[in-house]
Parts: sequence; structure tokens; C-alpha cells
Amino acid sequence: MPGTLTRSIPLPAYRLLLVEDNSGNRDQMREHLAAIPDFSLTIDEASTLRATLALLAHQHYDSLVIDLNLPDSQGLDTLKTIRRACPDTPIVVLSGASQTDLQAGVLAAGAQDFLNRNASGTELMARAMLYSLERHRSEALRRHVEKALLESQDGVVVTDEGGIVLFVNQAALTLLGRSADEIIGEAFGFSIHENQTLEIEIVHATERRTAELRVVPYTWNYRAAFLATLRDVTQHKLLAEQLRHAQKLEAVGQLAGGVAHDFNNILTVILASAEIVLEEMDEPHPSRRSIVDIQQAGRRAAALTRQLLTFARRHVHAPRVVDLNEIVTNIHKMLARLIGEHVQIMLNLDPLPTNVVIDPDQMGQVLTNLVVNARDAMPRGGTVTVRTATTTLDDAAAVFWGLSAGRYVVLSVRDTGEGMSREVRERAFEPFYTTKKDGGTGLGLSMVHGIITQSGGQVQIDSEPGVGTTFTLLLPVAAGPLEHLRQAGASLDALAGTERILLVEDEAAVRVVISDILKTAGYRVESAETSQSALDLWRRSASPFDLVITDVVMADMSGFALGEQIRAHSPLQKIIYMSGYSQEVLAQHGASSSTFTLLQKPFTRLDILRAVRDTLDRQR
Amino acid sequence: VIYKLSLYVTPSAPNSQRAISNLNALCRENLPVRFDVEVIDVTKHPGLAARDNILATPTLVRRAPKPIRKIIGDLSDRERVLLSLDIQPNTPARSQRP
Repeated sequence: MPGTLTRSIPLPAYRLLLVEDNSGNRDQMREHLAAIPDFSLTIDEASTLRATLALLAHQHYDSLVIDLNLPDSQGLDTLKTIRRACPDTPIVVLSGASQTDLQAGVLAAGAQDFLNRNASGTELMARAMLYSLERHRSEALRRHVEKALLESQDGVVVTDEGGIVLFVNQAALTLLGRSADEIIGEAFGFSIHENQTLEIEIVHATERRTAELRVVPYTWNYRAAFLATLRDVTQHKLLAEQLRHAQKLEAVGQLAGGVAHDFNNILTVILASAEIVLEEMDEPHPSRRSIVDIQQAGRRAAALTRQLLTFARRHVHAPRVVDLNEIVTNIHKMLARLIGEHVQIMLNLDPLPTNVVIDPDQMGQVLTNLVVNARDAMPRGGTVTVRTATTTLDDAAAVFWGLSAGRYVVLSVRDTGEGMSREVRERAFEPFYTTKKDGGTGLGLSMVHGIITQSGGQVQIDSEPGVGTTFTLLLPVAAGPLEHLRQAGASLDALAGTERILLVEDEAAVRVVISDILKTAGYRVESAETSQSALDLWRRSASPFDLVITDVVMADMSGFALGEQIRAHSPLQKIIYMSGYSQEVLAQHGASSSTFTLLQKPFTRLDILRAVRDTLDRQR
Repeated sequence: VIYKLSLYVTPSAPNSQRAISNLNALCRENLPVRFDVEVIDVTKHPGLAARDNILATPTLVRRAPKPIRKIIGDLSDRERVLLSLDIQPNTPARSQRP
């Protein structure tokens, strides 16, 4: 019967299986093992091979001590059978005097040690046996630790106290770009505090790589040493930098968007008033020229705020499925004219369709800006190459681009110009940042960035001073079929009407101008300056309004909230919203662009009359 | 004895900038000791970096007195740097009152 005996010393703890058919030998062995002070032992016993195998099937042992001659198995066969049952457990074979010739065979069959029970005293033998097990355990541990160090993804360098390198793993060699010969035996101290990390720049690397260094005291071959770990954080730092950059652009964008919104209200008044004055003026009037100048300046200002809103991603845009190749081909001639004779433009287009979802006018602007930018980078002439292609981003590439993995259309615009410094490259997409000596607006590339990110894509710059610059845009491949352009609207005369309109606008000047435009066209207009007064007016009205035109952003209640209240009473009420903001902002109010008409400020007289007529004529 | 020191740096990296100011302070604070310091930009002088088998920046090399010693890091642990350079820390003068 197997029994157990446990001693209560905590370390090191072993579970042994004693396989011995002679109960006298067994008891003696157990007694001696139990008397050894340095180990905590749990000892199971077995007196037959069969009992041994039964125990091994259910229990893990740190070691087996076996007698080869058992009632049901003799000699080396006993060892071999047990070895098969537990291939990794150290086995110590006990032998009698007559069996010393077995030693070589026993060790060859995988035993850890072979002890002659008669040659040494049993006590000494037990001790020798335990120490041999401890050696076995240390050796296994050492192998595991070494394997862990060697295979660690982090670089590991061990130095002695004087800084002489004793060990270096593969990850460290790869990171440092050296061979083991170049590093082992070299002297390196580490001047940082324990448990502190420090970034260091790797010198040997072809590109700039940054590693995080951490040093801890260590013991190597029983001597004091230092263990330094190196972790490659280049990618991590790059992503952090990209994030910081994106956040900065976002903040500037919000600021620009806010200013542009207010500015659009002012421009609406200027443009519309100029239009009205011009109409009321006699043809030869001396001030007519000045009014036209006001109009033109106003339009330029409107174009500028449009660019700002685009950068701020608050511009109302009309994305649809378009073939990028088609857009490039369509504006190719215009671009060629734009860049002049000393610069050549080459197209390298994917033979297959490159369908993406984007506002085609905006995409045209993106291309124009990039090509003009390329031209300005090549004052002594050169070549601009516009290339389209389709690519698939795997997970790693997607992280690099800040997009999700999948299929993308690539558009690149490459020039052979001066290239950009790192500083310029980093700031290129910032609004109002320009390096053009004649003073660009600094909005061209900001717009490119705004349009592409708004369309779910990304843009990156590769540039080398003296070699050239490549802008690479990625846009998600469109799933749906190609759509075609809507036809432009009718002339001014067809836009008149007599319907009853409720106008809600909190900016007095804007309200008056719009009201004038509508009245001139024949409409019956009632105005309100707050949402609440508008709601009262709408409720009290004896006859229903044919149309409500309301500003979106108002002090007391948003135009959308007003619209909802009105539609709660009269779901079919036609409503036009006016805003300096875009669908993106509007979408936050839970509305989608297909359910209402949105009039983007600033608008001309024609714009508002067309929107009014379209909405009134639409069958619901 | 003159300590000849070379500090290898990547000028745009913050840790290299810290190493330069830490080394300046260290030399100033131990003034009776004579230092001969050169700061080397590895991006401009890769040959010098190769000569001293520089793995990373910032690395401080003690060229003299022999033997050559190298210390990787921003030199923020002043005591350990002095220990590695084999310089006795200077006791501030004001603590030695008559």
C-alpha cells in the first residue's frame, strides 16, 4: 500500500515516488530521506510496476527512485517502461552490488543517476540523490530562463558591474543592427535610475528608430550584473505623433469653422443687399461699378469661407459614387493649362474603374490644389505624375494609415521638385501655413486634408528635399454603382410665386434681406426673430403656411427643434433649413439630408428662390 | 589628470538634449576636475560613431584616462555617472566652514 509522509519545511518541495518491493529497504530509504533537513518531501510508494504505472497515470512526480527488480518486471525493462510513462521526470535507479555492470545501460535508458545502495551508506545515498534532483531542477529552470531571454520580443542585454556585455539576445541584435560578436565583450554603462525608462535613438539603423531602455540589477553566473531591456517604440511614437497632429488640426478646424459660420451670415447680407441695390439701379448709374466690386469681393470672401468650412469638415457636400479615373481625365486639360508649359503632366491611371464616394467638385478641387502645389514646387520645370490604383490594406498597414483594413483606391500626385523639410511636411496641412513667397492662402492643402478625411480617406506626404514630393490619398472603394450628375435648375422668372411663407431668422439683417428677396418674387412673407415667436405665429395663423424657412442655429430653440414641434402638429409642413454649418452638424440633431432641404449660407437670390420653388413644387 | 569626454547625440531628440545639459551641469559642479568635452552629432558624423562603436544616443565616452568607458543614457543619475567615470564627487565648498 502506498503511503505518504509530509515534512513541513517550505522550500524546496518535492513529491517523490519510491518504487521498491523490499519493505525493509523502503522504510530505511524513507527514514533517511525524511531526516534530510533542506527539503520538504511528499513520498508515495509502490512495490510493483503495475502500481507504479497506476500512480503515474494520475499524479505528477518531481522524481522517481526505483529498484529495477520488482515482482512483475526485471532489470532495464523496468526502467524503460517507467521512462515511457513519464518522459520528463528525473529517475534515480537504486542498485545492489551485483548490478554495477548495469550502470551504462541505465544512464543510456534515460535515468538521471545510478546509485549503489551498498557502496555508500543509505543516508549519504539519499542525500546524493536529492542533490542530483536539485541539480536537475536548476538546470531545467536555467534552460527555461535562457530560452525566455533568447526568444523575448524585447531586446535583452546583460552586463557585468563594470559594463562589459555578457549576454545579448536576438531581439536586441535585430534592434541594434549588430551581430553578437560586435557587442559581447564591449563595455556599456547605463546611467539611469532603476525602474526608470529612457528613450534612446539607435545609431546603426538606416531609418531613425527609438527604443525604450530599462535597467535592473541582476545576477548572472552568481555574480552581480545589470539586465537592460530594450523595446522598440518607433511605431508607437509615430502613432502618438499622428494622433497629436490630428487633434491639433481638429482644434484649429473647430475654430475656423466657428468663425466661418458667423462670417457667412454677414456675407449673406452683403451679397444679397448688393444684388438688390444693383437691380434697383439704373443701368448708367455712377455707383454701379462700386456695387459690382462689392459683389465680387463678397464672392471671393464667400469662396474663402467655403474653403475654411471644408477644412473644418463643416461644409455641405454632395458625395456620390464616382470613378476617380473619370474625374482625373475630365480635368486633365484644365490642369495642363493651369501648370504652364515648363511643367509636364503625366497620367498613370488604373485600367479598371476606381470608384469612390466623394463630392466630384471637391475631388476636382483636391486634384487642382495638389497639382498647383506640385507646379509651385518646380520653378525650374519638371514632371507631375498623377497615378490611380487599387490596393488592400492589411491590419498593420491600416494602423499605419489610421484607417480600417480593406480595399482602397489610391491616388498619388508626385512631383520632381524641391521637396519639403520635415518641419514643413509636419505643418503642411495646417490652415494658413504657407511657404509660398508670393503668399498663398495656406488653405489649399488644409482643404485637401479636410475633403479626404471627410470622405473616409487619409492623405500622407512622402518628401525628400531635392528629390521631390508625393502626396498619396487613400479613399475606400465604393460599393454601389456609378451615379450621374443632376441637371442644373431654371431661370429667375420661373422662380416666382405667391405662396405664404413663415421666415424664422434671429439675425435681423439676414432676415430683412431674405424677406425682401421673397417679397420681390411675389411671395407673402411673415417673419419671426425667435423660434418661440415663430411657433406662436404658426399656431395662431388662420390659414396654414405653405412653407417654413428657418435658421438652424438660434438662441432660444434650434431650427430643428422648431421643425419637430411644427411637424408634430402638421407632418406634411414643408420646411427649408438655412445654416452656415453642414450635414455633419445637422446629423447630430438626428436628421438626414434626404428628409429636408438645407440651404447653405451664404446664398444668392437665385439659390434661395430656386430652393423655395423646388420645395413648394415637390410632391410629398 | 584631464578627463576627455565625447558625448554622442541626436540633436533633435529630447533625451540627447537632456544629456547635454546634464553633462554641462556635471562638469560645472565638479570644476576642480578638468574636463575636455566634445559633443558629437551622430547624424552628421556617422564615421566618429562607428569609430567608437556607438550603439545608441545619447552615449558618453570617456576617452581618457584609459581604459575607455561608455555610458548610455541621459546622464540623469549624476552619482552613477561619476562612479562610471571614476570621479570622486565634489563636496560643495560652502559646507566646509572653518
